[in-house]
Amino acid sequence: MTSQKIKKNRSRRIVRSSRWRRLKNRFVSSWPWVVISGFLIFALFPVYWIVLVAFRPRGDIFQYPAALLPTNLTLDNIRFVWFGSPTNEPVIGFLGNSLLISVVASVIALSFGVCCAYALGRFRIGGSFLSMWILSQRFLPPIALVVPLFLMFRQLGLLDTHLGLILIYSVFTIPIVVWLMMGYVQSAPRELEEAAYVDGAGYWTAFVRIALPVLKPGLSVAAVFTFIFIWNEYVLAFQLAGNKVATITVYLPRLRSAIAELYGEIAAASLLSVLPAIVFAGVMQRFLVRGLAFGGLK
Amino acid sequence: MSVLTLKNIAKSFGATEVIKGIDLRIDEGEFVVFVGPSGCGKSTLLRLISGLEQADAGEIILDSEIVNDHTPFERGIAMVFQSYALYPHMTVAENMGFPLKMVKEKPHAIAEKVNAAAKTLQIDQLLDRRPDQLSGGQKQRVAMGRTIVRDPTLFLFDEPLSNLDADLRIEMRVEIEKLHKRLKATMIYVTHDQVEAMTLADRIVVLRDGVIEQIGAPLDLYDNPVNKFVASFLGSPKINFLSARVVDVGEGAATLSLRNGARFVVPMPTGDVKKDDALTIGVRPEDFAISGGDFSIPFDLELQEQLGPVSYLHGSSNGEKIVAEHRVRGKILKETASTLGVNSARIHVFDTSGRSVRHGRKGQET
Repeated sequence: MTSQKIKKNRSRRIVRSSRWRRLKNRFVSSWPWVVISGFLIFALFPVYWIVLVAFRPRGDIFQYPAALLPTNLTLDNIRFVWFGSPTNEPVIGFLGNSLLISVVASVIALSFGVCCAYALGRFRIGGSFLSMWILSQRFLPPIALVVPLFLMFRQLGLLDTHLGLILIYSVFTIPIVVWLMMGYVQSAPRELEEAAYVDGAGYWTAFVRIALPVLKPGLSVAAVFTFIFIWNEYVLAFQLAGNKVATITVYLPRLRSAIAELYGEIAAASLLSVLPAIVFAGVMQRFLVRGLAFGGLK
Repeated sequence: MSVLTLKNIAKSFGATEVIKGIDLRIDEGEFVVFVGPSGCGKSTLLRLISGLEQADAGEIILDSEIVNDHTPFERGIAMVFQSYALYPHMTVAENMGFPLKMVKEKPHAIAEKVNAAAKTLQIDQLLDRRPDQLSGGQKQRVAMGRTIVRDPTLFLFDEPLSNLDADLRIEMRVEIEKLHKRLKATMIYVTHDQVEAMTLADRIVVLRDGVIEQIGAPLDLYDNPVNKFVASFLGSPKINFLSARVVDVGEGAATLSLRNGARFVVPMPTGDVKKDDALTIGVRPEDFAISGGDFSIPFDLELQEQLGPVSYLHGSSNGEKIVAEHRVRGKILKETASTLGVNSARIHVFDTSGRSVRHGRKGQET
């Protein structure tokens, strides 16, 4: 083989291998996107379907083959749940109940939970036993406690009241807040409060004026978790209330009537029911600013 | 300004004894620096003085009043933390005014004092910024400003310069020194940096394992260390240690021999050593000379670090590491520095327990 041929072959091999390398690189850099896109489609398709069904006339919901794109849209379902019908109350009352109970119970759980987390995280009160005991309150599923709670509520006159649900949700979510906030408290710089003590602040002042603003990102995470947990809770809302005081989660199954499954209406109500939680999470997101605590250090 | 007295102060964390019965008196207007390696208890001692930790035993007396049970604020102290501990959600002005707000000073009085302190520390243009908008040096000034606004009786500094770069550290060191001169306040400063200790302190307290090894003026400690630990802790580069043996003991002097057989006589209190005792001699890098001295040791030069007017010669002598200072500009040949001369009057001598039996500069250069 002449030297020219050898050179030609070598340059061809180089071109081929660089092409192969480029392809390989492209695949390596794009495969995470492929996986993420697949997961997103899997996770978001049901949400998309709810939106679609909420705006479809009843006849189109079960058409075969299913139309994946929006066609023939209507506001009838939204109107039905918003204004109600002779057999169904308007959704607004249930949304109001859910909102009232979720907000008040969240505020109570956050207030008690953050104080408790601060005491446990900063001053090691009760060692690891007390914090574990608090967490153990969440070991049992709510359904396991429904019977004793029902009896207690009946005795106390708390059945089917806002106060009853607010109390029970506060109690149920305090452990979540405590455990979420304990991590934030432990990782927050202790020197800030110590500086406040030196500057003349007492424990309470140092907690309220120095520690709490530093813990704001953690508080907003805890608020979102607590609010969404309470907003979505069904078992306790159904067992301990559900007649005079019914939340949105109790309202949704009522739309399954004996004559027909009101799928369009259920989808419309579901859509309305997730909106406040989305708005709340969006509002709290702006407090999730990391790094605020560390601006004053080093 | 205050006089601080510590009487037999002890502190343990669990089974670990961190401070083991410390006695100390700090006079009015004095600048005292606690130095020691990590874990020696210097920061814990400062926290005990501040009231952020409670002593297990002993008394902390501020101006004749026992303050063990007083809160940090009641003790009238101000503290600058290693991490500055500026409140991240407050502006510089709010940070500096916080201690005054706590004592319910009127807003205009707070503003006046904050402005005055800010001017002194040249941060008056930063008053509206938040800590995350400040550089390390500016944060340090704000932290100092927060301490001076309330006119405390005692200033505590917990390694305040350790997060700054070298240039800024020197600048801030000078600032702290100026602050001390201006306020004439009693100040306690914790550091592991012996340069800071030497330059700032009226007196240095050297700590090791929760006990005070030695207290004294910086040069006094440098020249007359009580043991090998203090001798090696102060001075940069560190003091050199060489093994020696007592070959003869006379009246007020002893003859020592080094590994290489070099013999020399050092004045020494009679009775402190006896013949055949193993000793360690300490020679500061600046006490070596290429030529001269009462005796010389062989030197194997490995590296010369040139720092401008001074060079550090790194090498070994009979397997023992040596760093010698050389105050002549330019590169030195390995052959030229094949021996190092030592002035026997300048050497430190330590017994096997590390206790000093002879100081290198006793009575000299004071």
